[in-house]
Amino acid sequence: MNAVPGETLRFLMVQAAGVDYLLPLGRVRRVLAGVRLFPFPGAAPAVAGLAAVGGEPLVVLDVGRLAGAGGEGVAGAAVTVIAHVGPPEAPEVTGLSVDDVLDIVDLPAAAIARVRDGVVSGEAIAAGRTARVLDLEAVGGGT
Amino acid sequence: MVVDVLLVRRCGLTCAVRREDVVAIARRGRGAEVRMRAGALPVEAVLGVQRDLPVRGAGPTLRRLLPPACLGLAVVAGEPVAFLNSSLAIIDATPAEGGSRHGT
Repeated sequence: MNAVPGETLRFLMVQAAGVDYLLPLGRVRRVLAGVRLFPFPGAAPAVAGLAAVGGEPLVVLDVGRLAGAGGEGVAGAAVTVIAHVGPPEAPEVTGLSVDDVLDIVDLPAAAIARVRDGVVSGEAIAAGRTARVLDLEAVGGGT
Repeated sequence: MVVDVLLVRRCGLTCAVRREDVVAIARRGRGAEVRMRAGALPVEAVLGVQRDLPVRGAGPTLRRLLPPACLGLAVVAGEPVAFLNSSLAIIDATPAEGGSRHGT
């Protein structure tokens, strides 16, 4: 995610495995509760399972595991954020399993401390809490 | 792509293999065994045959996160289905059934 200095960025703030995350709002399509997940043995640990949404198959990723902070897997899925992952020129629709959706927040780019740890690209104080910024373009690159 | 498949339940997930790859089906304990040209695949249940199943291949980003045996995804009766390469599914099943090829 490339931010221009002085730019304000919009995020969907979510919580997964006790950690707050910021998802770039422009990549979020829908938020759904009660999506039934099916385990997918042999998939990467970041894969929470498969689901069917609107008659289409959906790979659902566990945000906590994706960010390397652990997660609840299939049993803990409460809310599924439908979002685009991968490079902007070839985005892919996926589900992101989280415990809760907290808020929509606007942050100046300068307020985000750059960090690079897998898909975590930054850290910021949002709504009075420390949250990790997820770079959804980086999904699949070693997760 | 559109394929004729045999649907099976494996590790709690509905999976599909090409109908033409299936040689025989046999009972095996409380489950079943799907015998294919490449070998035998143990499954929990055989669910039936589906003709002309539309299968969508995963894109390059998500494909990296899915098992190598998964050729694509579909939906049948409101449930997700993993369309499997018969040969690779058997290899996956042989040493440690249900184990991960990605680590934990």
